[in-house]
Amino acid sequence: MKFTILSFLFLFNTYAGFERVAAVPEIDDPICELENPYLISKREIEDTPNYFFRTNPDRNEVYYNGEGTNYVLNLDTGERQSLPGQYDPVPSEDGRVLTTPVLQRDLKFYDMERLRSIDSPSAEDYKSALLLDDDEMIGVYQSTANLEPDGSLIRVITDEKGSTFRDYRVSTRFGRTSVRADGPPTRVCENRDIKLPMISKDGRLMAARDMNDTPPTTKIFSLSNDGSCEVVQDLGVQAGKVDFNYDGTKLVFHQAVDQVEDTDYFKTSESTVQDIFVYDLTDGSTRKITNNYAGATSYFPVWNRDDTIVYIDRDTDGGFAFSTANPFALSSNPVLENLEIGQCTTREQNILSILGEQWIDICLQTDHQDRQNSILTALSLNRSICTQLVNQHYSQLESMASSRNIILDREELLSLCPETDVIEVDREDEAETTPEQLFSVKCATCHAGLAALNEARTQSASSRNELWVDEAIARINSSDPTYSMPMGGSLNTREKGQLNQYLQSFRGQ
Amino acid sequence: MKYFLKLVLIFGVLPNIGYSNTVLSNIPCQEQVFSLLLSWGHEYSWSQGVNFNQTKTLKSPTDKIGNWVYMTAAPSSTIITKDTVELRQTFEFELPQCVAKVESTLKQEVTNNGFTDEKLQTLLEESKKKNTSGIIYLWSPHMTLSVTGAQEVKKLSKELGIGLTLVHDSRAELEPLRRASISQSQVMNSRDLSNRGFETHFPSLIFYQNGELERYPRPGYDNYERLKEVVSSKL
Repeated sequence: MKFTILSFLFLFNTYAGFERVAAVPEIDDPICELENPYLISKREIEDTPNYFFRTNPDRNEVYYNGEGTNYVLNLDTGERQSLPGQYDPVPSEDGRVLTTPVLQRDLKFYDMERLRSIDSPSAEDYKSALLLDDDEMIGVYQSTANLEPDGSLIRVITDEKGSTFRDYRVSTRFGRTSVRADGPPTRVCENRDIKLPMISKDGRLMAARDMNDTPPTTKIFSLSNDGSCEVVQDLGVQAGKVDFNYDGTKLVFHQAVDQVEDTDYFKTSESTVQDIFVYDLTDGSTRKITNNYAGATSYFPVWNRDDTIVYIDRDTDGGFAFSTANPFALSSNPVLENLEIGQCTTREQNILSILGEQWIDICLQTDHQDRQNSILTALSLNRSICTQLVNQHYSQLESMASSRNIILDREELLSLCPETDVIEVDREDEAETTPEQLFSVKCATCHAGLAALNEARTQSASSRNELWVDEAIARINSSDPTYSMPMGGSLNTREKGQLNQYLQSFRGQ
Repeated sequence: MKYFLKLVLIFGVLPNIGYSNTVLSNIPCQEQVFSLLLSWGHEYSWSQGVNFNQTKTLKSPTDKIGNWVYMTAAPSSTIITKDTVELRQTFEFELPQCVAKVESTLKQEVTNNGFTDEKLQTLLEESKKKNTSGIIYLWSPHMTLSVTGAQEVKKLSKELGIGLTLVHDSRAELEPLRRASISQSQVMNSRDLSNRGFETHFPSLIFYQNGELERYPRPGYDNYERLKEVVSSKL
């Protein structure tokens, strides 16, 4: 005997605390897809990226790791360029400097302009772009801040011993950028077990999970130059990594959304989602930006300077994309003016709520009929789906309207369908990486002497060279994290094959 | 065939002995809500979801793995949902009467693979029986440091002689999963761990000892030495 079916999610929205309903994937009807009304654009990516990434808001770029290689991707053009490092490429706030960690070894600083000028990466190029190799900063999860608005003094915080920051002087003269440490590494919040530290853009605040507390919630700490910290706000939730906006008044983070109403028991990949939330530090209000339902999820949102956000989207079909959204897109929507809990006050609101209810009937199969949910659901339909809904179900819509003493007009209804303004763009195809490039990209970050090794290849064979080849091959094929190379990075099978072959070619020369 | 059972019950006011919790202060129909929770007879360890202007969301594990209690407190009503493997019961208390409107829905069974609540329960029972301790470690091929950490936690668990259960991101792509070469890892399919906030970051780990699962996971990579310190302080 089969039981149930009430399968819907409550997605809470900031507007007067009412709920918003999102789709369930079980209903196999194209009408049942919701668009995110906050979405501005979406850049699909073909490889499988790491979830964590950062942006350079002045250039509309994202810095991410895809299948073991760091990249910078221009969200406007789709152009992508390899960067040094094995994971977590993080630019300074003004984009002049790129930081990448090497696990338990150092933090490297590169000249981004120099890196941009490189057509195909080589060890020599990366070496020439290296500005500083700070072996006193051996943590990971770095984030950066501008202590001076012109970017001449930056602060980098890592997870070392919980959290440690160090300040750096950055200067550019005659087109050449230099970086030098300004003071020692400074332990932050020394008496606390801190996780996932993220610094504000001005370096004065830090968001982190406080593991000393129960529950270990995400807190906002003020930072002093001596590393001492004070809690200034407790978000009360266990958030993912937090990003501060540019004026330090808002936060954005991802967090799991409970599917209390889910009546299936239970498949994580389909039954849990991470959604994006914006939190206002000035009044403690929260707004939910994504409407993920089973199978889709969003991670690691980052602010742009204009208070739009970028986050990574994992779609239901397994694809990845960088999505740009305006969290305040609906704030000025006239339809939402004077919207009060439990009632519609204008004809527009009434018509949209009818449209939303019809969608809920079809896609969620529930009698849940909150008017505000319905309006926001209608606003989440893309224009094409909304048009289909109106045309295919007009008689039901009419009868629903007449029960509320509203005479419906098809044209008016269609005119209220949201305008779809989401730009979907694909990444341009790239040339296959050559073994030489792969060798440079994967090995150059750690091996400053790579140029010399390359040089050795052209010299006559020696037993030392043979031993080096043996060891290099053993390391790239090892699964022991303390021995394998690239340290903290990974190679896919094709890359391992390419590198093995390339390294073998070093023998006997 | 669909069954949808709706009941309306009136709960008498039970003495609210000792049940207090600051996160639950000023919720509508507090007395009735506390009485209901007391009648279920176990301690609640509430964690907060993201709250919106006027709505508070909370959840708590119960004494049985996989069974949770959720609370949504809006300005004029409080909804308590008791969620078990087989049944979901919702009790809605609305001001001013605070009469519980009850909905019960039988749940649809889904065949699961990987590391499920059932396996978690078995792991904890085993741990209780043998007085053992261990770590459940969640990783994702889409978070490089979690892959490095998986190898390190393997090494550490061997060194310290503690249990280790490796589970991975249920949304991970197959090719990156294969490439990571982490053997004996199971797909994360435990609702209980998920409710504890396990999947907010990769890696995350959670400790258990003598059959007791720690309430909250530890998110983020810890290098080998740091991890050793943390494990030593916990187990």
